[in-house]
Amino acid sequence: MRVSHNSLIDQILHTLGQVRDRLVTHQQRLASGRTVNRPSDDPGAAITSMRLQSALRDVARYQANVEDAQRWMEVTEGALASAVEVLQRARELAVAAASDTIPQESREALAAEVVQLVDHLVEIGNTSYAGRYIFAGHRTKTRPFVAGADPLDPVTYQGDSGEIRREIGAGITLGINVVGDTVLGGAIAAVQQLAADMYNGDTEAISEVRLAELDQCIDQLLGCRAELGAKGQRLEFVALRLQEVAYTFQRLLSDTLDIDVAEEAVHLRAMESAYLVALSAAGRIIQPSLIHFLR
Amino acid sequence: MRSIFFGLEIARRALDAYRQALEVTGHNIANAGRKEYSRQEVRLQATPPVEILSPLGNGETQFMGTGVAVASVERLRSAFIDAQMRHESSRLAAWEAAGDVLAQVEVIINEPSEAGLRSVLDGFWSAWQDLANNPESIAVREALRQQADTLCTAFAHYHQQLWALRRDVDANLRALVSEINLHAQQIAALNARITSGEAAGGTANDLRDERDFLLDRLARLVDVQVREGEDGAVRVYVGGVSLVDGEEWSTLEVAHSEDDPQVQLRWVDIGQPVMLPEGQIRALVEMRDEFLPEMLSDLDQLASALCNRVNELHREGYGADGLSGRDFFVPGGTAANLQLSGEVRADPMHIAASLTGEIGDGANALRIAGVRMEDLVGGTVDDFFRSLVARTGIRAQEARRMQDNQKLLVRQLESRRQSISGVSLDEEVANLIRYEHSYAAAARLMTVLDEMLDILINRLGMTGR
Repeated sequence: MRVSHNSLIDQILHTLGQVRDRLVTHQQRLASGRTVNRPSDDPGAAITSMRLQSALRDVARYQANVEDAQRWMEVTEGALASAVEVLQRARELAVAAASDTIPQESREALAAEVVQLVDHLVEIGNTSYAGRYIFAGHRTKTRPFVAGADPLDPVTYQGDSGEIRREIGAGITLGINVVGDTVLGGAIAAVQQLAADMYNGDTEAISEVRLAELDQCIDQLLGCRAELGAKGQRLEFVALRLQEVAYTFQRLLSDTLDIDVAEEAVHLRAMESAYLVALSAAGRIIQPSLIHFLR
Repeated sequence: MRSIFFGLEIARRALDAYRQALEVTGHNIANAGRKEYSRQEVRLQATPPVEILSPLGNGETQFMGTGVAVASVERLRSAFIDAQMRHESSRLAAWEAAGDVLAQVEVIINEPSEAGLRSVLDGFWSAWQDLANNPESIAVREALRQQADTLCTAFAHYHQQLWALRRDVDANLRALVSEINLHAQQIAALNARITSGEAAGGTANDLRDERDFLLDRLARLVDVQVREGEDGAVRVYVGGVSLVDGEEWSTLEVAHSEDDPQVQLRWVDIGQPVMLPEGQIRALVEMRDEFLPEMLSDLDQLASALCNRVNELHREGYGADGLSGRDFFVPGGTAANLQLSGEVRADPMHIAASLTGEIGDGANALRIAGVRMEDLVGGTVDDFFRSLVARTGIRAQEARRMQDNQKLLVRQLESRRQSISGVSLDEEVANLIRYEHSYAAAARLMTVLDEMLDILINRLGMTGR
């Protein structure tokens, strides 16, 4: 085939251009650290990476939700533990007061302590976490337990029975709150009744009814704590799984998008030398023509 | 019997022929750097011999040579390769034009990245989850409002950019159509010069080069059909209608306005629409009329599905003030005009996080966050957007691959064309030497004849002097 002046130059420019193109590709990859810089680089990988990025975001969300649920439930758990202690103290006082051998003045002194315990229980019922009353159902901004003018007036519950849920997986939600009225309402009333009976010196009612009532309340609280504990364990398990999932997604994303730096660097180096070789070859080919050898 | 002076004539003819041959070689060398130039070659021919009666008296005749003359200056060019070249380069130009637009769409989409619509959507859903966790918090509500605003802006941005790109494509189309008209006019003018120039015989090589160059340029815009007539003029057809016929040319006009849904190109004379063959223009029309509007309508579909569904759920929920029935977005939003409703804009406490009306209830926010998992548009919102990105990616990838293939093909044709038409300096320099030597030899012939005449004139008839 005849090789003309122009096609020679064209050929050289084309080869140089090709090598330069590849140089730029490797350079871009090294600079961005990614193999896919636009969808057309690899549509499949681009889509996979988008899906993984969204999934990672979801997982991070669930992780945050789980942590939030855990903290909420820890606070609840702590409050319920104090409530149990209060009820146990009330029970001790009830046992002491139930005895016919102590004088009524001592019983009334004990009753004064029981009244304090009522206040304490109301305080526990009004526990807040991050500015929210945790026992108020959905009415998190309303103080759920309000005492009357007299310590023995019935305490009103102003919350509702709303359930607060956190999403801990795609479409999976977990109720995290305990409704104050159910777990503490009875206990407060029982302790108030105990104080009243003690003031009235009704030892029979104390030993026959109040003690059993207190035991029932303590049982209920312990049951509630057990339930919280079970949920806490479940959350811990979910948190671990989410961590694993996040790690797996991260790795997949890295497999899809990230470059092998060593490999790219070697390619870049190889392309650089190829470019130099092409340049020097071009330099040799372009220079001479027959003119240089005549006369 | 021939005269001795006839030898001088032979030498003169040779000098003349080789001088011309040297001039053509010079012309080749001078144009060696021009790609569109076709190498010219001198065809030397022996001048007709004279028949003389043999002096032997046997009645036979002899043919005596009379020298050389330039028969023609030929242009080395393959019409076959030209036709192939035009066809393939129009396909190359088409893929290049489509690839160029698609590359810009890819830049607009900006995926995969942490700054694209996907990331903004993720942030939007996450903000609803945040609200579900903290329905009492003004800060969280404010953050959701910001995030939703970002989403609206992102949709509007995509819409604007794609729309602007469509307008750019339209402007480009108009420029290319006027380029066609200009080329048609120039080709018609060259037709006239070539026809009149060649009427007296010979070929107008350099004018033909210029015309071929224009035809190549024209073919990139539209795949034209070219027929050369007896008189050397070409007829150029676009989609079966003649664009150039000898000295006559037709004009194309753009009959649509910038934002019309369909491009309309018409023949001015006959008022008929142009049937566009392959080439840059048709590729741009496809991008402008099909691909970009499809993208835009997909974005609209996405935005309005999102708008309707979020509003539907939002109306069922209660704001922190215990009121329900409010929209989150202005109803009927599309990509171009998705925006927050006046109520939500006025006060973030109006965002309906609650299903019961109690402030601590985030159930509705959680439901709205769950919209991301719903089959809203024949798949989830994320799926839909991903498929849009995938479509663009696959088309851009195809365009790039086809461009590479087509470039290879055009390059091969170009190098075949160059192997026929291209100037090789080595060859020309060799010719230079060849013709120079011939010229020198002819000059020497003349010297010899001169000496012969000198002998005849100056030295004969000296007897007795």
